[in-house]
Amino acid sequence: MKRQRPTRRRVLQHLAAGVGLGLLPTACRRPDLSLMAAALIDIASDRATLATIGRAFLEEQPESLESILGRLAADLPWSGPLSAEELTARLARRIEHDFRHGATYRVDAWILSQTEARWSALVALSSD
Amino acid sequence: MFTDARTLETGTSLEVNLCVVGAGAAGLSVVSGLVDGAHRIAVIESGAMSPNRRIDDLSKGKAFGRLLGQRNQYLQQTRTRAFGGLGEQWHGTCRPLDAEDFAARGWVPNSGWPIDPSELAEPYRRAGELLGLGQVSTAASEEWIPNDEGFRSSWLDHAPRPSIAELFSTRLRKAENVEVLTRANVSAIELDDAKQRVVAVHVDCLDGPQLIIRARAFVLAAGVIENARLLLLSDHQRSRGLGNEHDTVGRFFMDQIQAQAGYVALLGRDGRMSSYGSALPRPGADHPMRAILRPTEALQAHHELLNSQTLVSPVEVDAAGELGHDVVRLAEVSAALGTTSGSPNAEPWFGEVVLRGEQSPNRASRVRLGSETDELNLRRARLTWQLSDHDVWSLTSTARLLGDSLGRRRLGRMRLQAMRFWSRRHYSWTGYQSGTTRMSMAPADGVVDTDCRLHDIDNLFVAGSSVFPTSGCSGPMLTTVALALRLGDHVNGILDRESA
Repeated sequence: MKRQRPTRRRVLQHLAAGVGLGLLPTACRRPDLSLMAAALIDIASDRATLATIGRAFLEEQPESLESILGRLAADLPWSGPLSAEELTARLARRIEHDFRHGATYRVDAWILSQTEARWSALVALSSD
Repeated sequence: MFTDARTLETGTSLEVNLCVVGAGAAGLSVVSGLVDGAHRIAVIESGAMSPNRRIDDLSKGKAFGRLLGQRNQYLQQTRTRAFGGLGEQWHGTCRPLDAEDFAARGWVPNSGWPIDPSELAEPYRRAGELLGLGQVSTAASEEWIPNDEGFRSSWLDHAPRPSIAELFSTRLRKAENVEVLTRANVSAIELDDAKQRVVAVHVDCLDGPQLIIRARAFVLAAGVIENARLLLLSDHQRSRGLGNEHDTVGRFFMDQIQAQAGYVALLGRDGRMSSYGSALPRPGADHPMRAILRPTEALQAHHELLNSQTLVSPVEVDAAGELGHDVVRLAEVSAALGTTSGSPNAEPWFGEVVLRGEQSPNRASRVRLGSETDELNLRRARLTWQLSDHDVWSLTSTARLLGDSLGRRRLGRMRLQAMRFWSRRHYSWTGYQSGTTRMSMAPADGVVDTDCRLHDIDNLFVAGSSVFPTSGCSGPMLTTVALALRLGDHVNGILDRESA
């Protein structure tokens, strides 16, 4: 069955309404995840490329939006609104951390950091 | 002087000071320092001046191994019976062993050498000169891929004229104290009555005479398989063969293995990546050099890896998969996060990644005598090449760690092929053989001592990579020549003392 891909607006509305938060890990049940999602999408400088990678990732390793956001919030970490500079710095640090600790996924056999794979998936889900 | 042994009469007996069996890189390097000296030398070569199918047939034998396939011709493909030996298939690559190759590593059973690497420093320098390299590169290079705690760049030297036969033939033709007998096959090694010294080797020629070569010292330099085979064949005076009281001859056979690991997409910086793609002339060096990547000692120890080297060759982006461009762009976006440097300006660089690694010394991996005989009625070699899971796992793990390292350092990404364990599509042999007459301190652990002399025979020495107790990841040529030069000095000293 083909998976329904939500639009960016639907992703954000979905999160703002708290729908599906019951699926998130307890530590990530925060209404400001919609803000994190929006901020991560906004700092993606090449959304078309990230969306392509994100779709390939989701094809190979389907992961729910809730799971993606929950893991990103836990890993960055996200505990409230951040400046764009701080968010990009955390994202960069986490990507380096992933590679240092072997927290990677294979997407079309390419070794990608788990964080950048989920970031790409978030952009893919929001851009469809 | 060169002599076709078939032109001699049966029963001819040559008396020399030194008899070297095999005219490949090892045997000729042993002789190199003794040319025009005081001692008479005979070099016995099975082949002719160029390969010959009937002579090569003597190399046939059975070989078994998980990377060999059922109807393999491994024993023929990895050996050459001709003046120059396997050196005629050499591509000119030279690299010394790494420091960790000499050490006993806890996670690699039976690893390490019984000599200190400093003992080979001077022989390496001379080997480099002999092979036309000038100075051998030992220092790690800081090329486009910067060194870090995980991987370092290093140089692979390329000899400008990679023909062992050419290197030696002119000099040996003029040498008055050296006689090279071609088409001459050693069929037996004869000991004295006390069975402590070799007194002669017996030589058979296809459709030709039988000869005897008497000497004061003998060097076996016939190759990894043949050195062991000749020692095992000489069982008429010692029932287990020569040097084999502890059942060590033929054991610890090793070949380096190679893996097609995948591709790298590297963010563009400048043109220095070409150093990794092929051997190029470099400022200050008189020979071409190619950059390689190697896991550091610390990384090997932490992950219990075997030593390996990674070669990266340029490919078109299409070869790296449909997502190649997108992955590079993602890597650029990720690399630019939290920095002010922005994306690199130059074009990305795509390369195919091949890893070549040592195999761990394995006592069960061995050369024996088969039941079939060759045209000279000598039993053929039978090889059981045993690799361990660790040997294969190590290459795969190193490739994955390289992918992690590139990502961590914002250099690019790696596409790691799904390498099916033991698949001959993904892993292959290299023919860089070693072991079978390994060097050891104690007779129970090997065949030759640190002077490359058989532990239990006074005047029989072995030259070549068969004495390597640990192979490392470099091609064996440079170390083979260095050890052979060292052995030549040693034997020359013995002959000088005996003459005095």
